[in-house]
Amino acid sequence: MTYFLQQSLNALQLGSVYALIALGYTMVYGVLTMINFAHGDFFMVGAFLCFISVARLHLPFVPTLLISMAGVALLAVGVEVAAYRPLRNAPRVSAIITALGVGIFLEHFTLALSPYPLHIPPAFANVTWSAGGLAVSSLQVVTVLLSVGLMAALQFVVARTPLGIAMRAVSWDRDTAALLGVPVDRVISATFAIGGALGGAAGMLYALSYPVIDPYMGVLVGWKAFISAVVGGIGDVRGAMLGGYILAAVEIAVAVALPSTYRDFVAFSLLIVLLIFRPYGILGRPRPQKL
Amino acid sequence: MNRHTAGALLRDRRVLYALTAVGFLLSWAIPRFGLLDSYVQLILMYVGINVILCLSLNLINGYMGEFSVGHAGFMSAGAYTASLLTVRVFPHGAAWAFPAACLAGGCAAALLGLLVALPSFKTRGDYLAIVTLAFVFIVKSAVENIDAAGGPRGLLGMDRLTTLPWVYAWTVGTVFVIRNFIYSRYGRGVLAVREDETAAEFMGVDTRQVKVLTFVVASFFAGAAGALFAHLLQYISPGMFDIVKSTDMLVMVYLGGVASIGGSLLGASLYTVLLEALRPLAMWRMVLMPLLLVLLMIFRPRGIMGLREFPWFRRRCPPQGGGQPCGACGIGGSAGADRTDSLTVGVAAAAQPRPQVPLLDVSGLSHRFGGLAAVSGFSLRMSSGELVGIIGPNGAGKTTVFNLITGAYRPDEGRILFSGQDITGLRPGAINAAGIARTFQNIRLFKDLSVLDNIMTAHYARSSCGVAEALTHAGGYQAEEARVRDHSLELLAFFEMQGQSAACAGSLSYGLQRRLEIVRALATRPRLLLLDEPAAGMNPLEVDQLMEFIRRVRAEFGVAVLLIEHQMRLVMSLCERLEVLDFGTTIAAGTPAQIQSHPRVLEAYLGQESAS
Repeated sequence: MTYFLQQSLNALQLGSVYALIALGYTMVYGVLTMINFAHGDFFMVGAFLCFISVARLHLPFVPTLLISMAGVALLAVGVEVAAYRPLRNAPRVSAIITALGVGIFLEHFTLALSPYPLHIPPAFANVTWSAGGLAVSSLQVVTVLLSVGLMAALQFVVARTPLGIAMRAVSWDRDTAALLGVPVDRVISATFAIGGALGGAAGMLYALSYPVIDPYMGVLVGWKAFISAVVGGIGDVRGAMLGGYILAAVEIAVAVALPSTYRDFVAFSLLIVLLIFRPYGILGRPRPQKL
Repeated sequence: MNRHTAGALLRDRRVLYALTAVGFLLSWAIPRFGLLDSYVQLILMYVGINVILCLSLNLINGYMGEFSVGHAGFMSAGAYTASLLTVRVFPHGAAWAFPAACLAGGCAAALLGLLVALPSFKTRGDYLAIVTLAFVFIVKSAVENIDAAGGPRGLLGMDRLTTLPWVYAWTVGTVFVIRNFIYSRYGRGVLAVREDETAAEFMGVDTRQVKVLTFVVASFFAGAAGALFAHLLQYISPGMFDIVKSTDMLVMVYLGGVASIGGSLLGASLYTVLLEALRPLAMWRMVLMPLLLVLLMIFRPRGIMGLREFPWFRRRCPPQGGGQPCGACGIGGSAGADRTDSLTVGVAAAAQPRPQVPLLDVSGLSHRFGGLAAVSGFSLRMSSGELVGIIGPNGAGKTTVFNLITGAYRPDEGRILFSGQDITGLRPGAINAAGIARTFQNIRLFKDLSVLDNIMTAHYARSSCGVAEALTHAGGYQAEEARVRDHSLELLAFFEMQGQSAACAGSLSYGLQRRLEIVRALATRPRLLLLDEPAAGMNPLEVDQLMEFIRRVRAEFGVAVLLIEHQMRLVMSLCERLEVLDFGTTIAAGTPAQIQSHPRVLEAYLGQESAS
């Protein structure tokens, strides 16, 4: 039982990171129907910013968090303006390829600057409380609470604020939204900024939890987060969170029951099985097609 | 003059054959006599392997317009299958087993391709990207867990069996087979799926079959390329075939150009050579490459040769007809322009009406969108050759009736009989095959294809050419292709469109596009033609022409016509019977004269007061 709780806690920690990244995918997809394949690498940049802040500048937790979030948000907006915006009316595939290109660029650029894996020292004294064989670290508590807090804030923004309404309007019909006076470009930039900030936070939390980072770390984690978004129903904010926790739970369960090398195999196979039965994800619904 | 000669050489297929033969001789002579140093030979072999990968991926991503990132997985499957065969199964006769091992690698990949394709094409959009992405991770993870294949450490012990002549032969073979495939009825189906999958389905193209087949063919070549790769490098590991490898191939495809054989040759060669040439830049070349890709997408989103083709690889065709030539398909023609006699006879024979049984018998049809009843209790009977109109205010459910009859939606209630056969709930393709064709409210032509290809595509369901024939252009392929082509040209000539046969459908005037859509529907040889607002956006003169056109279609082709229209002049003078729909139910039915004075019709159109 303790073991089960312990593993659930691990799943919660990992799932929080997946969910935060998945939100970035799902928000951009929701607003632009574009898969931002570079988002996993935004996450990676967040981890590297965390390294700079903690290991080089010796800053404490909160400034590090702000640096990671703001830095990645800025990067995301920059990429959107420079690379995606010129392609907004181009074939959809062009935008996807560009996103792949941006992703590889970020990986290799980071690799050229820092060819070896880096180790991140702890950003704060990590206390572990144990009770009845169950060990809970302060890092785990911070990760889960911060993630849930950010997600709640996002849900509030999307559901209640003028910006959220504008986002949903752009998502449904960009042209009509523009005609009704919604500043489409600014809304899209804001979407990238929010998604980027969440990705940056995820990068930092991940780097603190699993403290060896390298430029390719965003590939696997990023894809898995993307898968989470798809599992939950891409384009749906609650779906992304749900998907993140589900994927993490499955992964931890597989790692417990089978040799850990089977983890990816089972996780991705489950995805395909799920998609066969629910092609639009758990919370997603198909939009009817007009003839 | 000089340019002219060069152009003629580029068009002459014999020059291509001669060059291919010379190339083969060279591929044998170069290693035999050491004409180039071994490093250059190695690069040449990588170019060949990359051409195979790039062209086969282009089939899915360029020609078909889907988005797959799974090629690394198929390559991996081919590489491991072939290597295990030569290393573990035939360690002593590896050199002899190698050709078979390459084929086996291709087949293993093709089989996996089938497994991936079957569930992937259930829905549209980004689904394939997601599934193939997961597939790459699954293959990598699976191989890492197979001890016999070396697990995560990789597999060693292959002899260097991949030689320049082998690579050359495989490359030429790939180009040959994929080109044949593209210029077959399946290839037309592939292009139609890219242009407008929905329209393709309604024109009788078995889109599912086309997509699965294309995917399997592409996977086969990726697997074969993997086998060649493994026996060139003599070492493979699961990590080599990750998503980054797939991205490399995507770069090649989009650099060279989508939907172009010449583009793939160019893209693969450029990319391979450029990577080598930039080697002194070390890590920074890997930074430059993606940057190049992004710039390319912004300034030339379809790649260097996007949708264009090198003359050698175009379809053999008679001299160009009039109109703006269509680069995407590189075909044209105005042959057989005035042979209209066989046409109408052939179609009329297919349209033999059966006695007693009505052609179309719809009863109690209902369909709801959520809580809204778009159509409720709709019934309609039509006999062969009848011309019936459906009118009603906007939102009355007219188009929904069309969508129910043609299989776009499955009715919640009711039954549709077509000459006695129950077609309720069948797929659009099957309903088209039964003999119902339609046009769309917003024109849905295959815009980047030529006028002729639009018509030829609609022959898909009525052709019988098999996969083997399509891949080799042997057997009955040529005869059937000629038959379909002649019939298409006859149809175009009949409607005075032969002059435009080589033009891009999207470049036609609005009126001609409307007309072409009807001709395309007729090419599927229907007995019932559904026209959804054929006169929308036309001026009075064009409406007159259209009425004449519809009368002619019915007289010459013996089809019954059911049309939705708002133009009262057209409806009243053309239709024999009218159905008036409002809020999803028939409020009146009868001859135009009866309808014009029907109180409920006046009420629906003009409101309560006018009716009293």
